[in-house]
Amino acid sequence: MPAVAIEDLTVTYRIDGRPRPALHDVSLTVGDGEILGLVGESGCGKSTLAGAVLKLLPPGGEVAGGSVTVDGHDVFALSPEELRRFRGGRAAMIFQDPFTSLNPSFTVGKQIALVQRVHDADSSAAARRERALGVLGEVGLPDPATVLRAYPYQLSGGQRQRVMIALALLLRPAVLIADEPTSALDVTTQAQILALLRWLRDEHGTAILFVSHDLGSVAQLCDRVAVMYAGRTVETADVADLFAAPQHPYTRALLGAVPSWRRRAEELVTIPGRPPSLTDPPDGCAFAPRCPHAGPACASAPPLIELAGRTVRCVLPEVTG
Amino acid sequence: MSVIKADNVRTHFGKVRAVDGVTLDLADGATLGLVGESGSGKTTLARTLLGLTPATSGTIETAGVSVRGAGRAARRALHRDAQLIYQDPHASLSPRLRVDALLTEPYRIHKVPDADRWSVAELLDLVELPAEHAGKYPHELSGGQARRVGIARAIALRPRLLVADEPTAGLDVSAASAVLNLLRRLTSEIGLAYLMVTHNLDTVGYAADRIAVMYLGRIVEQGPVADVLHRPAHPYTHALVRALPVPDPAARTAGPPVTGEPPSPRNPPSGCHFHPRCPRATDRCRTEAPEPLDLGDDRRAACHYAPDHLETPLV
Amino acid sequence: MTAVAAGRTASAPRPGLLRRVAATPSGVFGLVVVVVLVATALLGPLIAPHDPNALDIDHRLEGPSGTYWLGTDNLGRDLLSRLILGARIALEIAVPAVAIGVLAGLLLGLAAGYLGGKVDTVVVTVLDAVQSFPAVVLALAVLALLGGSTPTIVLVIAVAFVPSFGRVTRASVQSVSRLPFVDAERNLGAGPLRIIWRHVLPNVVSPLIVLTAMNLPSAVAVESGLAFLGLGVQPPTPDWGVVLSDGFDRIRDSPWPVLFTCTVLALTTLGFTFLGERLRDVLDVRTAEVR
Repeated sequence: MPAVAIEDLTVTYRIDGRPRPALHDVSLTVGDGEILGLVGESGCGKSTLAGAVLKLLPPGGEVAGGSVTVDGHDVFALSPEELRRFRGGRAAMIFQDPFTSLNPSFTVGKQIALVQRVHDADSSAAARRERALGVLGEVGLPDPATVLRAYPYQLSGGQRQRVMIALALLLRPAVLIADEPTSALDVTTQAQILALLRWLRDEHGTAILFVSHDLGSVAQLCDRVAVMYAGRTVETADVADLFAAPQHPYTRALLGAVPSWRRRAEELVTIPGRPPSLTDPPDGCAFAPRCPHAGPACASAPPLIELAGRTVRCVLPEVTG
Repeated sequence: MSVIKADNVRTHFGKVRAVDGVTLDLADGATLGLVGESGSGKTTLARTLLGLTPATSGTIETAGVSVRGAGRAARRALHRDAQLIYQDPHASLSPRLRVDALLTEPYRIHKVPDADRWSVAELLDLVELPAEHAGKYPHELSGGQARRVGIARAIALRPRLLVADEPTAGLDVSAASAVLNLLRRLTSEIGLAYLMVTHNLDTVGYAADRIAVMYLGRIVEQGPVADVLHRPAHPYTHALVRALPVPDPAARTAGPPVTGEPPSPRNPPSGCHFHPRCPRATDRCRTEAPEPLDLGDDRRAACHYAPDHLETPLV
Repeated sequence: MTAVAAGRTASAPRPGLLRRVAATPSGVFGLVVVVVLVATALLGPLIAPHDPNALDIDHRLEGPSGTYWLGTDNLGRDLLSRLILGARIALEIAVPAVAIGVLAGLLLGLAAGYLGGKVDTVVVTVLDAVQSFPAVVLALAVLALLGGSTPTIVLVIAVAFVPSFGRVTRASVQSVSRLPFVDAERNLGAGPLRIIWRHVLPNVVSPLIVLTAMNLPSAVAVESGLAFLGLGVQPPTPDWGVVLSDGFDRIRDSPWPVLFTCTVLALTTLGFTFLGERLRDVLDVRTAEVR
């Protein structure tokens, strides 16, 4: 049974009074103990998707169709009380900016205690403190007792991110949603956090949905990758296959647009134009206006093609084979 | 001819030694990437070189102007010849001015005669923005477009030196690649020297010919970019290269290359600043701050064992 | 220098300022009130049905009637005519007072906020000193010393407003001056005057316009208050404060003078306040509704 099963999920945002789709019929799975990378640029819907897994949508956002099943539970069918236990319990989330995700007015210890009060009310205070210290140590913080007493502003970016991960780990969730967890960190700290996430999966079997715009991190961490554009998945594949032989023109362009110091001489690919806005979606393939291979067949929405364990949303002959 | 000649520059804010003894040279028309993580002092150094932040000691000559103690006339000349592209594209644009007013502002300030000006249309064309953007206000532009307007303003006076502070920060991959290509094209077309400040090694590798790596206010290694990154002489450079996630799943690194956090410039470690995190630190590293060693081939590194690291590459 | 050919033909031209202000009910209300008030002030004697100082003892303290639409006061004078003339007096004092206060506050705030250092310290001390005097005591002292002539009243009110305008401007200027675009202009070589005029001022003006609009009725209230206390404009001049004072003396006999005068004062305050708020929303380039 997959850790996360998203089926035909459609999410809309209310803009100017009308609902506009931010996610169109998205289907994805994250296997047990698998790390799935979710890549795309701003506005593609990856953060919306990540939030939807925990039914965390910003104001104006509504689920307009489809289902999300996490660890066997239908998320949208949970009652508010069940949802509260579910979030942080079966599935937890960490964000890009730990400073604004951690309450600046509470010490780390207090914030951990607040989570424990919801999920672990039966244990004694001493047992809870033990667990708190334990989880802070697990995420690699060298002095857990001091960290417990510290306020977020007293910690560095990397330490705060570790605290966030510790908070997420408290209840040994089956699924961790990580929304750009390393984007605000220095590269050496980023490497440490990526290693920590990998350890989480290796040691605890936690399935991770890793949302990022950084293809390098995704290549280093993930088992499989899903590429999103304009609210849809345009390609999913094993990480090695995706990077070695990208099929969708957008994936190819994206990989070609990432600079690498090892390939200095090559000119970077630039993708002309801009992604479509939510209020003005094009008919047919959303990427066609910017695609170098677009043809008349692209005027109608391309189907999702499955070939050899990968999926691609494109009609071009070289893709469909 | 050098467009930047900096010798033993220090910029201290009270106890915080943001820039702590930097010697740097940039030739006319050359490109240099200044790389460092948070707390490295790279932004402070860039601002000091441009005279925007006063240096505490040392000599700086930028675009022929002696930056420290420059009078009004000298400062004006400096502003004409050396410009800065800001990290936050929108924040550097006056919100109540339209793009055309923003683009002609540099000419009006310096009273440039019409014949020497680029027209608004020409400037927009240079940065690959469609002409109708001239009438827009900054808040109507996307991040990438605002960045280009900032670039257009910076090059309007045809400076000798362009300093870009994190030119791709906050931009999507596709917008970032467009900006990098634009900068590459412009610097070769207009022939200006270019100093890029960034934390991203890949960006530096693509955009610059030479690299200077900063750690806690000091330059720990400088040299031609491909050379330095393929065969780093300083353990910190090596750690940066290893930490950089490569978009190639086949090339997975074993574990994080360096432990601990970047230290604060308020309380730098003794001797070599990097010694607490360096896997090769010796007693000498703890007590004696290394001077930059000349390694030949235009390379310098501030590590007691730099020549050894060139002999037997770090892994 | 060749002008850009395409210009702004791509987007529709922005509707005029007036149209945008009048786009909401509160904006319309504010505009109407202000227009009516200004018109009344300007036309004054031309539209007053009776001579505001003409006595009609036989019909004093009467309620609204065919002859006297709003009734009469304690000396039989037509209330409506007196209120109409009162509008002129109110604006004659309030507008210059606020104008002087704004200008002085603006200049002091700009200097203090942008230049900082000693200039700032001096300005803040001065503003604090003025502000620490209770306004009434200040007014009493000045008017007692210099007499209750109109210019003196205008000056007293202006001075009372300078500290608040000055502080708001100073705070605004300080925060705008720290923004990166000011730094960017400095790096392009712009001098302080250019920066203040072109980049700082336009970005601090918006809160000031709102403050001005909202302080005009305060000025009116203050001068009416002074007149009410017998310190400002003296009877028989039909200042609203005077009318109110006369009305209070005989309120048991006829509530109408007090009622109508208060209504007029309330409408004035509301009207200017709504107008000020609407102007603020419209003038900020970011929040303006551009079609």
